[in-house]
Amino acid sequence: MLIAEPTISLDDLFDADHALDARPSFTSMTDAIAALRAAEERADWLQMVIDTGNDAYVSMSITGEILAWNKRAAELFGWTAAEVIGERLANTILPPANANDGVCRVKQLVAIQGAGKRVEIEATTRDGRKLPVEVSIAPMRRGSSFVMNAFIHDISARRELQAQLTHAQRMESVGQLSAGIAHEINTPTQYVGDNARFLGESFRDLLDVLQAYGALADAVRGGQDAQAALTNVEDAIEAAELDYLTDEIELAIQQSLEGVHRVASIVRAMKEFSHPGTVEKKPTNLNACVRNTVTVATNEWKYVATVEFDLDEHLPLTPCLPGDLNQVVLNLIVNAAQAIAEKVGPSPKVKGVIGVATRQADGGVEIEISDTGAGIPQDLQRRIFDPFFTTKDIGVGSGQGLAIARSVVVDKHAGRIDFESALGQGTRFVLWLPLPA
Amino acid sequence: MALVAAAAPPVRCETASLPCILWVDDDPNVAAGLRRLMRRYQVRLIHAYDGMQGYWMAASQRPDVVITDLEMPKWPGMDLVECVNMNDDLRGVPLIVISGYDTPADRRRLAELGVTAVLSKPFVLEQLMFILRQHVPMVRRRRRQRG
Repeated sequence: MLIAEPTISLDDLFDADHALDARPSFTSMTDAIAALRAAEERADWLQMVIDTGNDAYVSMSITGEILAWNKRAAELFGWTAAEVIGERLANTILPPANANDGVCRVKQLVAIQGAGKRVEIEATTRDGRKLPVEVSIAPMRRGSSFVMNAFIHDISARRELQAQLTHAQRMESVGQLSAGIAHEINTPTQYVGDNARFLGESFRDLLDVLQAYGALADAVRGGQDAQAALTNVEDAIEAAELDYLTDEIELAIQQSLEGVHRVASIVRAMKEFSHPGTVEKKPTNLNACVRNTVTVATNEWKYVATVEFDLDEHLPLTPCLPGDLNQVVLNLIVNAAQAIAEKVGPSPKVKGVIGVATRQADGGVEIEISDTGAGIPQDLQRRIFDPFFTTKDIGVGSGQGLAIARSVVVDKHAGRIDFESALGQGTRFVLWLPLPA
Repeated sequence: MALVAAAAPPVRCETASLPCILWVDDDPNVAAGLRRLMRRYQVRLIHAYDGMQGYWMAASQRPDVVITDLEMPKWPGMDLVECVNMNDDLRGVPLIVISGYDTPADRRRLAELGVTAVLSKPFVLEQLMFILRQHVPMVRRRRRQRG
């Protein structure tokens, strides 16, 4: 490891003036040398600890200048210590995300207060790769100033596993949803087809009427027996049941368009929902996200609940991973529907209510999903975010829904997920996502 | 005060001259689409919009055939089929199941319950007519002519 100023060197200690003025005086030269050896050994020891560690160690000044850089840091990021010492963090592993970003990412890091605080960020390696890392940072007083010591842990394997788990859960819920979606699509397809057939048959009936009218026109033009032709027209009208057709054709067209619209909207929602998981956050209309997800899950809630939207139409676009966030909203909606079914039964006289709201709050946006369902017993409340914790029957839930929700909101979006629940009255989840300052 | 006319007693299908088909589906558009097509045939088509109403109509109207959807509010189709099966008065009434989505397990259960046929939506009318003809006369209406 290379350590730049400020540091204690042996030269400092050998400097006679310094040694005499500032250091404790030694009774003999032998004592002084022994103390020096001991200090030297201790420094060696500490240096070895740092160098053999599994985590990268980077020390920096409060202005973001790199002061120390261990072997693991060199392996992880690709720069040798000699290359980066004295460089700024912003010119190496934390480049500004864009031109206006400046030193704000570094400041952000430095602003993390308190010991034991860990944060997940994306660092950049020398060859330009993005590397997800967990940073544990602690300030250390040096004279009149501070240096920041950071231990940096490569979490790309963990991220990969998380991504696989999220993907697996998404596939699982797509599997569960597919039955409902098939039903939602096949039903309109049935009556659109029936109506098209009816319109075909009606068209042939109408052609008969038109032909009779044509014959009447010919008869009038040709000076033939118009009365007979008129009787034929009236017969054709009656045979075709023109009054019935006039009413029903209009209804059949209207209902068919309704059916096509239903199919189109569920397919569109499905497409938006299953968004291939993007790695980069992108500005997203969260209202559209929640509407789509509610549509995709229609079959999960429609027999037990109504959905009441209270969406802030002025919600700003929010940077997020839409695929992951949709999954979170879906998990919460399916949970809400199941909690309601648990309370009122599968075919209730009076349905429960799932509330879906969005609003701006606290420098970010909130998505609230509430239900009038069974509620979560007090003694289970602290466990609901644990992976694989479930109270549902086998095959109904894998116990990953809320664990993934927490991971997506907290780890991937630096947001919060809170809930309150009253037994027998319902549960309210609030997701909070930060907006860029 | 004018007396409110007493509601006419329901005409039982078995006493009516036309074959009676009970159609149970929670989607009114499906019922409307089918009614339009069935209009060409000399049948009486009655509708119920959930499983419970379907069972009540089956018991009170004694249709010649019951056609039911599977996924519905208030008793899914499977419950309706089981109840019709257990009602001695309705024993032998052909049951045709039409579902928006069914699993192999659903199919096995329906076979155990002895349903006449299972069709998946969307089906074409000929498929249904083929099955219906084996149980009720499906006579096309003659077009009205002026006398």
